[in-house]
Amino acid sequence: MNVMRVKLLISGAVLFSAFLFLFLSSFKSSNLSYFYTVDEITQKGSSLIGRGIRVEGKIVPASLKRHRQVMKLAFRIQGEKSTLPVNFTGVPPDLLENGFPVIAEGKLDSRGVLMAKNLMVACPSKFEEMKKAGRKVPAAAEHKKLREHAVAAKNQVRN
Amino acid sequence: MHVLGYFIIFAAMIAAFAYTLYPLVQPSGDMGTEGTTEGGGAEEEISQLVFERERAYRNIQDIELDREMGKLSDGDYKDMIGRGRAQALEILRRLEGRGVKEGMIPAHLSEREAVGVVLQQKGAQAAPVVLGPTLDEILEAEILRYRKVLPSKALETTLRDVPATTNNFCSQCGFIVEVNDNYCAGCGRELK
Amino acid sequence: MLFINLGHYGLWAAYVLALFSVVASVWGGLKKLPNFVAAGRNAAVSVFFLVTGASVCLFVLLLNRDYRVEYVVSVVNNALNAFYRFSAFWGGQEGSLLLWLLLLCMYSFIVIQQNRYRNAKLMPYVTATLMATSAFFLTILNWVTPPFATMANPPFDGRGLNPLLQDWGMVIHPPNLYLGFVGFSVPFAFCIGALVTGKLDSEWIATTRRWTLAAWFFNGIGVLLGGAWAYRELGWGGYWAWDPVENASLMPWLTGTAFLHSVMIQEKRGMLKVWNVSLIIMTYSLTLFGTFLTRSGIVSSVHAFANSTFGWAFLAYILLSLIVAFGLVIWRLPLLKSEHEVESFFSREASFLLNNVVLVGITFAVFWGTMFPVITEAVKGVKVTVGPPFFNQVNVPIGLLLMLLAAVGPLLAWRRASGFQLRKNFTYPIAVSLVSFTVLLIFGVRHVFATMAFALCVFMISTICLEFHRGISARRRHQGDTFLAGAWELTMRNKRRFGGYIVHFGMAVIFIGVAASSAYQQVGEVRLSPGESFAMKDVRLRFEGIRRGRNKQFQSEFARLAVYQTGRRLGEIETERRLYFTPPQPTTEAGIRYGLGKDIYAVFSDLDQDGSASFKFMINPLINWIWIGGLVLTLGTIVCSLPERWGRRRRRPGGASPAGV
Repeated sequence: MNVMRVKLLISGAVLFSAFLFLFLSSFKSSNLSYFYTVDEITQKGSSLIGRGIRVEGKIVPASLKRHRQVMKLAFRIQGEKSTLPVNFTGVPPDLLENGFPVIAEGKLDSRGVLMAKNLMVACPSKFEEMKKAGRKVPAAAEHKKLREHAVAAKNQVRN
Repeated sequence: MHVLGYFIIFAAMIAAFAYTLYPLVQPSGDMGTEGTTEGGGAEEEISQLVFERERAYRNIQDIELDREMGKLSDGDYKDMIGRGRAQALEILRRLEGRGVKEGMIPAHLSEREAVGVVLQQKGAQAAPVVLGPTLDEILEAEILRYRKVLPSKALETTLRDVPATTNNFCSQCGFIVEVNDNYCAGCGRELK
Repeated sequence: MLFINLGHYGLWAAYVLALFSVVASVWGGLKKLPNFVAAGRNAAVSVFFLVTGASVCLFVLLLNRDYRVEYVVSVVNNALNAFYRFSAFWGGQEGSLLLWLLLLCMYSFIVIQQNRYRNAKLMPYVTATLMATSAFFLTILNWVTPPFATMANPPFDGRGLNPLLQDWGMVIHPPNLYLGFVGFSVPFAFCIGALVTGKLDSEWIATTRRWTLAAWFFNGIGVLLGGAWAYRELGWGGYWAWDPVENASLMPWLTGTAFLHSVMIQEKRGMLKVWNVSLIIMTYSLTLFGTFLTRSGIVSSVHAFANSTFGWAFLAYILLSLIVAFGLVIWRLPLLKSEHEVESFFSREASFLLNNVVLVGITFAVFWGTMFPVITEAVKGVKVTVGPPFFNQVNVPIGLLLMLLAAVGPLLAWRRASGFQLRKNFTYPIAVSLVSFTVLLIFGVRHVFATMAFALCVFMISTICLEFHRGISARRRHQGDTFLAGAWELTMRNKRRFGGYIVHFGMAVIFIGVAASSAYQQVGEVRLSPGESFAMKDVRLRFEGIRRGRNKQFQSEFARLAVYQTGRRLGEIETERRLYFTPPQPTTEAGIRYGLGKDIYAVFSDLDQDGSASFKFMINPLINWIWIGGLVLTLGTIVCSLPERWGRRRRRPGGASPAGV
């Protein structure tokens, strides 16, 4: 083993350790966000306060309130058995509406409200949603609904 | 669906499969310049050597460029150019061993065209062009031609090691010429 | 019905032929049977025509709004105009995969035509590899997500294209990115060919140089376009969120950059052969993985289409190709021995090697950061995600090191840089960058990483300018060229070197833009009534009023804002809130005043009865330098790809031109 190789190996080891240190230390708890379901959060309650949390759920219909003040949103999201109140400050993401599935990320405050810093809408198309649920796309039902829509639209125009 | 529709689809499928399977029903060896046959081996090697030659010339060009830009000290330059030229020389020797003499291939041809020229000339039993100059001189001329340069003041250091006079390359473009030629085959300049 | 059937059967026929091509090419190559090789080649050509035909069919179906096809229903509706019906091709899952396949088949066709008389030993395996990839996509397209599946009862109207995709940026972004991803399949295929045949000198690299460059370029532009789109469309004022899908597009580009550089070492010095084959295998796998990540929704993000059934198929194929490829590498290890060794830390080899290590390190960090939720879920049962703070914490310091290497690397000599060279090359640039660093500090630019980034970019730019200056001076001295003519001839005679310098210049500009817009962004959130203003530093925005608009697809509210800087009225911007009808969803269009020095960015929401609205304003300094840097990068890439002898002056009798200058 000649001198150069030894030097290369040593510097390689040094670099690698430095990198590893940088990499691993970035996994500190203030950078982490735990993904829980609504029910898990409701269940675990106060033990999760202060921790970075991420949760997914559909916005409970008619719960979406936009505050008069600067860009605050408040709504509840739906889990299997319970709902969770969420507050969000900032520009609401596009496609945000009642009944839509969203992913909220933030910290839980002492009242059990999720103070979300990050809000994303995960909006698969209706078809894909159904496919995921393993149901065949109910063509007939869809057809009927769209037909009614079209008829109603035509009537509207006529009137 | 219309009958015509079925016909179109059917025809497309047939065409695709026929075209695909056609080579399999050909007698073996009737494939043109394929390269998986025996004769292809030599072509491959020449093509490879021509490619390496271009690379060696590019290497020399890079070293010269660095020299011109003042990034190489005299010592570094002498060292590197010596190695570069030795490498190119080696490749030229090997090409010569394959029957490819420098000067037979004009510089502006692409690699593929160059291989074509070589094969053509092998078939045509071309007489050896170069008689007098050593391989070293040929290399020098080749480099000049490759760079499309004239010998100039700046190159005096480069050319010092090369015999200054040979009568077998054109002094304008460096193309190897026959002893009896009146005009240079590379640039058209009148010789003598 | 014709087009539906033609597309459907076309894809099935292509599937069969692709599989045939793999078998025939490999068999022909191994047994030296030119008939089989030719048959495999012809099959690949047929696949190209069939897939192109099927794609044309899908375009026709989309343009005609043929709702008998399920895919058409999912991405088109009656209100959608022709342009977006065209781009709806890649608006959904099935079409997106078909686009991938189409580009792959096009590339395969071109590669085959380019190599009719070359690389004869490698080509059977190149064809086989390209067709194997195609066969995989055809498997997915025929078994799992068929684009031509029909509906029992066609509806009168479709779902329509997601409003977020109805934007020119999102129209060109996927094809662009795919041109990059798919492009990496070509050097990969040649690598496999080289491994199988044992021809492991540099020819496989030289043959695919332009392919690699093009793939790298399109991938990079795709990443930039994605960022530009996010900036304009998503309304949060940023362009990069370390979103899993963004990361997925970045990773192949990182390893692709590493590959582009390390192959230079192999070409020049015959080193790093094992590293190079491994890198291109990794890059290819990352392109597939990127597609997998985007489509399977395995890590939730804003972008994901949702379909998990084929996620497994993708993973299986990626694993299979990794096993086969690395198996070949291990088998050929004896032939992959380096011809030389690194001789000095101050050599181009060493700096390129370090550059590679750094890029792979960033890829490693991004990969594990992206996959972290999946791992924690498997191990601990709870998904834990890491966001931008993690990625920035790891990548910013490494990025600075990368900038330093980009500046230093091109100027170091091969093997060993002498003291003379170091002094000659680096004295001025180091001086200039130290001066600029000090100047920045004096002027209050104190953000640690940003200031260092600026200084390093100045370093990069100085070294590049010095190189150009030296070369042009030499030409003026010896040729009597004017400055411009000298610059042209210099670049045209040394396209790779100076094209590379231009690319690095572009990267420096990008880095400056990124550093400034990240570190010095200003944000303000306020509620304004018409006539009221909000000020940030020397910029004031005055809410002038609301106007309304409507078209077939949506209705809008526009908030008009007047922009003032130090009292002087600069102009107006309008930000928009749209409400789409089918399906009913709101979107925001930001109002942006573009500028070389900064962008002024505004979004609004919550228009109230009394006419007041909530606004979010942002000042993004130097953000357009990122896109401008992208243009410079494009120019540099073009220069690098030009044919060797293009653009050079004709031979001039009596003219002297020393060396390569």
